Amino acid sequence: MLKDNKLALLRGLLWQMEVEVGLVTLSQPQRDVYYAACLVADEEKIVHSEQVRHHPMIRAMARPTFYRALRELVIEGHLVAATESKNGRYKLNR
Amino acid sequence: MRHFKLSEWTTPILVISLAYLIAFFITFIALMPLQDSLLSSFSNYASILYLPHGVRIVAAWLYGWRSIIFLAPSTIIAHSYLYGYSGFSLDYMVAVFFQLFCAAFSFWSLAKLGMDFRLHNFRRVNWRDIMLAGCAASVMNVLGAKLFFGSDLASASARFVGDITGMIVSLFVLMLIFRALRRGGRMPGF
Repeated sequence: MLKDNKLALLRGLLWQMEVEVGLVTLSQPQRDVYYAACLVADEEKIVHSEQVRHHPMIRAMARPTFYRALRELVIEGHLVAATESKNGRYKLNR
Repeated sequence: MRHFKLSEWTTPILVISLAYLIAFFITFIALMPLQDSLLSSFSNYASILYLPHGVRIVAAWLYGWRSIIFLAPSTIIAHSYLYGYSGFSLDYMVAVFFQLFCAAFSFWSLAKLGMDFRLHNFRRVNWRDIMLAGCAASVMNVLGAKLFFGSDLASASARFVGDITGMIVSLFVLMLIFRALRRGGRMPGF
């Protein structure tokens, strides 16, 4: 029955619109991590999580906060794992 | 057989009717006078920002053929507001019939052509498909109006433009409402 929830369906559709028109807002740690990732990314938009973590903008951030923000950015599709193996390399998705 | 539950019918009828009538009265009380003063050439009840089309499309997407029943009360109320008793002649009623059927038929036929309107994969873009169905529905609606209201090409195209812009604007407004609700924390889980 839950799959049938009309409100959830509508919400999903509108959320997608929000993403597409660029109105999804990130939390403060997410935004910091994303910006830092943009700053340290190479030409192919590849970053390593350790590189990002050592960026001056991020250094003050607690480790769990950093990894949570990173994980959320991956879940939301702003970053994607660059390789199959979990070696901490991500690609900026823009 | 599934057990019949009255609330599965009454709730959507109430919600959809309310949304449709709000969209309709915003269109005709707030937007139409503005349009008339700016562009006086399109009279003939053709709004170039016809918000109820958005309600029609969302209802048809969520409820399929059942949306016809859910949309019927508000569509008839809106129609009688515009045309009074003369609106209940056969010609006008066929046009109303087109208004009610166009969206559900559009979704149904696009689904038959292989389009998938369900939201199961979050990475897939979906709202553009909804818009496409809205455009197809509007073409059919305009054809219905043209056949039975005998409207000219100018007001038929104004109707089409109005349906599309109205749909986009109403979806956008809905998006902002949902966004605000989520921010306000009044919609946990959404």
